[in-house]
Amino acid sequence: MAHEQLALPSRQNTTPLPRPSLHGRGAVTLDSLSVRFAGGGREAVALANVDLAIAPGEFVAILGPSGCGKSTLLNVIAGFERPSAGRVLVDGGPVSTPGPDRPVVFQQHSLFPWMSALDNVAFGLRMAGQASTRARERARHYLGLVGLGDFHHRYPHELSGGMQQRVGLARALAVEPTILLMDEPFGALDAQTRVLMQEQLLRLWERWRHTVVFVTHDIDEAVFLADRIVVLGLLPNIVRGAFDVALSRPRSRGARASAAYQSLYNALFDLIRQESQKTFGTTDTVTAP
Amino acid sequence: MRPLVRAGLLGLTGIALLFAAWTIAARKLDNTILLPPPTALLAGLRETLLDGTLVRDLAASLKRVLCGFGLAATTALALVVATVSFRPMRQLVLPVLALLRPIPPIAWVPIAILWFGLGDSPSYFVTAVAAFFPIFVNSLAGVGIVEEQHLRAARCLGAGRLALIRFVYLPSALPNVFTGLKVGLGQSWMAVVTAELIAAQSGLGYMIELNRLQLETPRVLVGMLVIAVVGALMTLSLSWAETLLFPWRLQQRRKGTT
Repeated sequence: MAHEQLALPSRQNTTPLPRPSLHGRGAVTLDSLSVRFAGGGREAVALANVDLAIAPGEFVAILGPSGCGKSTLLNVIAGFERPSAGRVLVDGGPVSTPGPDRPVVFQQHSLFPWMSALDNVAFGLRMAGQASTRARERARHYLGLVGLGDFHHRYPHELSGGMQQRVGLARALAVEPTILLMDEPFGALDAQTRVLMQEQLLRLWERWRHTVVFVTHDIDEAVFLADRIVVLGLLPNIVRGAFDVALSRPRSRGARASAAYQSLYNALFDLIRQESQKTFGTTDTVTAP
Repeated sequence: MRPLVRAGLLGLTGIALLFAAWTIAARKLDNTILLPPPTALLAGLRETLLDGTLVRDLAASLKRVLCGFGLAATTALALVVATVSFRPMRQLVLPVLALLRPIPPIAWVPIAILWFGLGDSPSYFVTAVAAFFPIFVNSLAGVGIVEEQHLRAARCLGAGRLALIRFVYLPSALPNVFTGLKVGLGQSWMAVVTAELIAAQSGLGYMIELNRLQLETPRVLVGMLVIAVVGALMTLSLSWAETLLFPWRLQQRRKGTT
């Protein structure tokens, strides 16, 4: 496979980017949020009493082991799932349905396979009532931003996994949201592509500064991208800690070499390890020398 | 491209072997009524083409298939829409269809003659019955297999109920609907010949039966050959249309099998 080119937004052949005026919007508040799933006669607790306030323009990573409910958290903010107790507020108003103010970038297979890359990106604009030519024109611009301007006519199955994720990102950005919800968006990609995608996302976000809620189980990814990292624990599925990331912006890959990165990475590693072990019983203490 | 050429060559060899075995068997048997040689078939083809009967019968069969198939497609798709948009309809209709489905199209021929007499009408009915079930069953399954992730993606980009139907449910269902139409057309093509053997005075099925009575075996075989070639052409062209219309499906299927 020829390796993908992650082109920087080229300034010469695209119109200047109209920075959406966010007007300090994009605040997300979780107010003692609980989610329980009833199934098979038993009730599973996906989230218990989560309180979280995300400021407009903040990049928050939700980190935790599998089963901690991090995707559920995102789905509730997106409006796909209803809380069993507590509230989700976006800019002070309760969330009841999904909406284009907070689109989701999914892990994979979320592009419409029957639409070209261009029409996938134009979809949200069409839904907002834009005429098809105008929507396509804008979509072309956003595909250019993720470096896929020349791939507009391709169908998702003709694109690599990384390219599909970039189309997914362009599709979410195109509706000019105040909040971007990302559900392990790079989790299914190979390590090389993932790193390039992270860098591209940062470059785009640093121009926009919309609120980002980024779910991941990858500690490195969380530290490299986020302003703040919220760790969810297992049994009970509660917030186990929140960490500010003291790395300056704009960040480049050099940030990974800094002492601040290393110490935060290690602290998070220990915490996640503790949480993950809960599902392993006492194996670790038995086999320890 | 090379495996394709290889497959083509092997396929042609298979057909050539069939004709070779046929020629040898015909020579050994030496009975042109029970088994005429392939050369007699060619002569029969020439005769029936020249006297116009072959074209006339083929046209009659095609017309019946298209009418019956059109009738089946219309009712099956209307019923799918009704069952999808109105839940009790599903529970009402599915048991009835499950009961009727095992009845082979040929078993409908006698009652079709009683109801419609001889001529085109019983054939319309029987071909419609044959095509109805594959179209209905496949389309209904297609409506059920929409990806939750596609629905979510569309909703968070601002799609309302109507937009979901038009841009997500419909394109998700179309490939299966098309598969249903493809299988349905094949079934109705087989059914029309069955119906014509008994209930018609024209068409390829009638041609076969008439020539059997007159011991014109080469012409019987001509009829069978034309049925085979037309049926294969229908399937091939629809499969080809399928890859043009739904290119992503091919990909999914390949992924599924490896």
